[in-house]
Amino acid sequence: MLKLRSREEQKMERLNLVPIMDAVFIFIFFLLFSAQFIKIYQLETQAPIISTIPSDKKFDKEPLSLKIKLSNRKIDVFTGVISKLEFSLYLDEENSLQILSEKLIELRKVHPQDDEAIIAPDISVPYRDIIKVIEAVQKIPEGLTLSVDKDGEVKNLKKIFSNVVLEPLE
Amino acid sequence: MMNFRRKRKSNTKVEDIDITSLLDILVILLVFLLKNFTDSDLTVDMAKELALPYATQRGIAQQGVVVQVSSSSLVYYNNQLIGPLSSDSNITQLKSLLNNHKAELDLKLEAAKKSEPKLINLVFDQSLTYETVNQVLSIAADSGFGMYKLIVQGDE
Repeated sequence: MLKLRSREEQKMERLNLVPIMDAVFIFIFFLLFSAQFIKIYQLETQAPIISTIPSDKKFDKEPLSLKIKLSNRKIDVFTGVISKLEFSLYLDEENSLQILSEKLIELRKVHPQDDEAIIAPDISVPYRDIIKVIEAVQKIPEGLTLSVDKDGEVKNLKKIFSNVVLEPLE
Repeated sequence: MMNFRRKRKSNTKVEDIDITSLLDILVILLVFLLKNFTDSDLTVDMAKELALPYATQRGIAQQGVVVQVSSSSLVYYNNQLIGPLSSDSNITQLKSLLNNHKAELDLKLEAAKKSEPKLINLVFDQSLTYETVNQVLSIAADSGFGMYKLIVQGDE
């Protein structure tokens, strides 16, 4: 009898894992219901609004009025109230979207108050190309930062142009 | 008798089940599910023949009315099939559904004394042309939805 007791004492106690198992099971169900196997995200665009500017209004600086025309594989970037072609790019070119973002960053730095870009795709442009251009217009490429001087205050921007408007077809 | 009792007790003692392997599986499952966890409150039952375009931006999708257009131009409103976009009756039906939804939203916002742009989640197949996309955008704008949320797939 004495021998048996000493053995029992030597035997290590097993951990009671039942409560942690219960918690893990509940956690798994919660995660299973909230899991998304196709990761979906959103790109924000706005419906165009027509507004009139009084003819006597004078600007301190001419507004950027950025317009990006997208035809089959070609991107034309226009600026100014009276549209002036700034540069053109081809979607097939290597790093064309990266170049577009970099050039738009330069334009944004010169026009810190203008946060709007109009994208005008042609009738036959595939939706996937429109998404690529919207992303290039909004997303600051990795490794770059964009800070602008707004009303005497330096601000770090999260997007190159936040307000993207898709121009309706005529 | 005493001896018999003692023997019976030792015979009925339940052996501990080794749950180590089960725990291993659960931990792996937990890590996998945690990786797929998203705090987005939008759920979309993807229509057939609909391939989302890819994007690297990570804007969390928000709850709202969902309009889907498949590669064969079939329109879905909140996961319910309406029909081909080429048919005028389907366009009219989509317009009336959006108008009703907008009226409900207006009532809710009025009760809460808030004013904010109405958002619409748009799910288009990546191969659709801007002609089709523009048609849906125009319907949404005419119904009073001023904020388009274009749903894309995360680029891994």
